[in-house]
Amino acid sequence: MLGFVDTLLGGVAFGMLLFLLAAGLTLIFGLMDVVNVAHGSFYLLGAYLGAAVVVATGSFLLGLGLATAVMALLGYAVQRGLLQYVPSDHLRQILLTFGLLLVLGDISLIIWEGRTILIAQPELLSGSFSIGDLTLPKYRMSLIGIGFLIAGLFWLIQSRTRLGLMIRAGVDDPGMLQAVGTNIYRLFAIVFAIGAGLAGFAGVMGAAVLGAYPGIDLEIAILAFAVIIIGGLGSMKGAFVGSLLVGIVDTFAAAYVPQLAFIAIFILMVAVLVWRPTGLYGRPV
Amino acid sequence: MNTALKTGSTLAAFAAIVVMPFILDGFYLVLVTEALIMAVFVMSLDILIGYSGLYSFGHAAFFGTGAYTAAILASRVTENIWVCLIGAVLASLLLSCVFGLVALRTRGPYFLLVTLALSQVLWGIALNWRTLTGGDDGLAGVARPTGGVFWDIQNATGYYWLTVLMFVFSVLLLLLTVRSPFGYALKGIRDEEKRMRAFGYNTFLYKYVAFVIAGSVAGLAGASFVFLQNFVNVSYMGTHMSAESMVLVILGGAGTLAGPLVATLIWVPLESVVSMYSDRWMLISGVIFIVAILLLPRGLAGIFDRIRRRRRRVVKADGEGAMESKSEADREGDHHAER
Repeated sequence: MLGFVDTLLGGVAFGMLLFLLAAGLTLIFGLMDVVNVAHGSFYLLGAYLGAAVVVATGSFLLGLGLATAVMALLGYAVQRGLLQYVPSDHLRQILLTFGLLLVLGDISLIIWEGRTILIAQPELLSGSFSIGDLTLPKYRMSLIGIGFLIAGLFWLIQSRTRLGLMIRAGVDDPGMLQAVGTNIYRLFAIVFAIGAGLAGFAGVMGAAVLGAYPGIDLEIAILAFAVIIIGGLGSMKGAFVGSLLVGIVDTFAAAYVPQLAFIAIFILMVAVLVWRPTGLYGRPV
Repeated sequence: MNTALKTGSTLAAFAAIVVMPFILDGFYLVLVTEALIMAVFVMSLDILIGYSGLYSFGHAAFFGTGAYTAAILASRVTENIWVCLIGAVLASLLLSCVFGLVALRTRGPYFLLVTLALSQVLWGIALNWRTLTGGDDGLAGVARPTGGVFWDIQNATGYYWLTVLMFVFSVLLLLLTVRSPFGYALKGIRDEEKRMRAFGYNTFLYKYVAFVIAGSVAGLAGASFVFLQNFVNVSYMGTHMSAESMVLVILGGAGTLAGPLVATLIWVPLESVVSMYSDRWMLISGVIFIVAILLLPRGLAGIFDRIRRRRRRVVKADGEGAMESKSEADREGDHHAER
């Protein structure tokens, strides 16, 4: 029983980590119709950068904040400098962002020499607390909490703020949004920056549990895409549910069926898509 | 492209192919052989991406299946290379029949990911099935079966000629697929599926047949590859192989066959040579992708399109009025831009 709870918590925590990436991707794909294969690169760079800052300053918070900010800036630059020029052509986007993945990946190899890193969990969040019989690791719980918080925040922004209004309008009809006077290029860049920043944030948070290593950029990008596909493109609810599903399935598979661990997610994806070809909450194409 | 240029370049290509073994030594000839095999693999994917609008991210599954099947047949069943090759094609044909049924229920990005998922499931199974596939280690020391050919294929030149045979066969098959009513229907489905359905076409069937053809040809390429390298492992059906094939289709110009062919013929030797002198091939290739796609939106094939269009504009500028008839390239270009 205890092992089960442990695995479940780990799965939910991992799911929340994925949600941080998937939420950004949902915005980027849902709003801007952009396939960004390099989304995981922000995760990887955020992790390495955050680790470097933590090692240099001893402050987890500083590492977290700086990594998020730098990734957001990088995201803004990538959108305005590169992605802006390949609108709505998925093939070109795939090639462009794949190239970006390779470039950023190799740069991180050059700078950090391919080392695997693990950030030490901050004192506040390390260790565990008990509720009755259960021992709950603090860090994992905080990850879950953050995930729910971000989900709530997103929901709030989307339904209650002007930015959310513009985003919703843009998902429906970007042309019309531009026609009513919104600077769509700036909006897209901001959205992309938010997505990238979230990914960097996730990178640092994730580096304290999973660590980071060369290759994690593509791995986690594939997982994040699996999430939004399973959840249904463009649906934030789908991204949330999908992340939980993927996180739990992946963690349980790794714990109980290690040989199938890596492909458990793909079996899940095939199963979901056979049942619902546009994902759980996706709009019929 | 006008007929003279076409005939000229085809003859030049033939000449190049024939002359190759006489001007290149072992290592470089093997490289060219590899390039030809990869070109077949990439062109088969172009049928899907370029001609059918099916962005398949798991094409390596068929390549790998062909490779493993050929290797296993060669080591355990037969000495005849044709049996191995045909067996490989049959295996990948069967696999594509199965995968196609599942994948073609989806469209667009869902199709992209489900093809990846299917190929990864296969990859995982292959990785774990040690007794059949050698698992992590793969199958090494795969002997080139020499039964069935009247010349010696154990050496580089001999195998080169066999590869050329395979290459010509595949190119003819793919050309037949696209330059036929079937091929034109595919392009129609790619561009306007609803309209094609309104015309009464069974679009699922067309896409399915295209999927199976593409998968089978990929299997043939995989089989040729395993006998070139005398080795196979799960990477042959992995994401990197799938990604690279997709990239080369896009770089070459999806929907042209010739574009991806040229792109691959350049890329394979380039990768090999650059990797010999630098550790930074990842960075270099990434930069090439970024720059290339920004400068050449329609890939290498786009260069020819632009030249063609400029020549037409010059011809039409002698007072034929404001209306200019659009070449097929322009119309196809518009479609690509529209999407």
